[in-house]
Amino acid sequence: MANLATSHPYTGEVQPKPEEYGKDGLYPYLPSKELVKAVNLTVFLEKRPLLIKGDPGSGKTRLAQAVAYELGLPYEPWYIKSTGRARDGLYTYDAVRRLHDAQLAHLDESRRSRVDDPWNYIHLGPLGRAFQNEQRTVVLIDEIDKADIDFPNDLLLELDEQRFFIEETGEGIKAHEPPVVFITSNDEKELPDAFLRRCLFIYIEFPLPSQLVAIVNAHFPGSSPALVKAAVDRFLELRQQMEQEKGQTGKKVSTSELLDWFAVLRRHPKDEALAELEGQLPFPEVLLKSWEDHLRYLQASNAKRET
Amino acid sequence: MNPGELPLLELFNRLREHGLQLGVEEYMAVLRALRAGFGVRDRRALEQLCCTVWVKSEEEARLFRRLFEQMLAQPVTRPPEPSLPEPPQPPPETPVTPSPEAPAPEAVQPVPSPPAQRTPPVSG
Repeated sequence: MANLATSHPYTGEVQPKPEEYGKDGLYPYLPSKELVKAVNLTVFLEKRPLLIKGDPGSGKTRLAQAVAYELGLPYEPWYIKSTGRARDGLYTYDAVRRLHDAQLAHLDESRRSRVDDPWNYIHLGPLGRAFQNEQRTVVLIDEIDKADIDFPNDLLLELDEQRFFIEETGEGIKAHEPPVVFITSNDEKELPDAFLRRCLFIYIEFPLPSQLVAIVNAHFPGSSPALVKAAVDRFLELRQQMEQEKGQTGKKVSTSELLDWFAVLRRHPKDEALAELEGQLPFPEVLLKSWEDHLRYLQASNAKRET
Repeated sequence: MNPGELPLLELFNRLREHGLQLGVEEYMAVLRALRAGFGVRDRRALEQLCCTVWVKSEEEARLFRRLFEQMLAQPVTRPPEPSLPEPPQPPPETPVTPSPEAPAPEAVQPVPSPPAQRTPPVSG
């Protein structure tokens, strides 16, 4: 099998270089061993997408790009909106534009030649491009639970048979290589059984403290270890506090917020930042996103000071 | 190896009895992965493989782990267990060996028959 994508497995150890950070949203990604195995299984089983659930900020969305980066494969993200239809991921057909061109065709020779070919009005979507690409492509379907309940089922046939049909041209497009599909869900809606059955599933746990330290270090190489540790500790303290107050289900501070927060902290001289971490929570606006959270935090820290 | 004899099949059927939406294809997917060298390193790896393919939510995962413990985790009290304790292949963490789990079918050693002969299906 001369298939590049399957000849070397994903290890999770190849990271982008610091100068590549932020380019197309590329950042270091440190997956757990379980996640690495699930990714390799997805690559191997070919027609089964990997459904990823987990706390917000646990890294569901970033996985796909990290895999594409390490394996050197093209990457096609598809961010689902509440109005999204399954077909949009395959292709869209601009009927209005064609009608417009057709009406003006008698005035304009170039329009006339354009209007004859429906392909001029068809734009492939992320999944459509992945099917057409001769290289195996990593596709991210982000937040599938935002869409209509029929959405996942509408994709079943295409994912199963690895082909789709363009009604306007009467042509079928067959995948050159089965795309590696990652799907994230925040569990806002239940997904249909028939769809779930075909998915592989993994739940990403919130990173352990040591993993958080590693994540911060990977994003901000050369940071002072003392500052990283102090920031992570303070962050975890806040997270624990939120967990106690809101239970497992409430919105808690997440990894991405930790990274934003740390980006602000490290701009200050180290001693200053460390001192700030000792006192009141510095830059709370980065971490606390609702007035409720602010109030709770203020109450808690006032109570602490009084005791 | 006759797939029908795997205690895995019994686990699979029990999961179906508990209402998990699984079909033959899902069972075959696990077998295909096993033959390619996935999930054969140890019991934990097998558990993770089955869990990834058969389980679709955290609730199902809890059920799965419980059943897996019951059915495939009998303490080893009987005859020699040649293949299990020390995995024969090099540790796959070393980045130098590029394809520990790569599914090139030719490269697959005659699968160290995972838990096949390990425990005859014992229920409950």
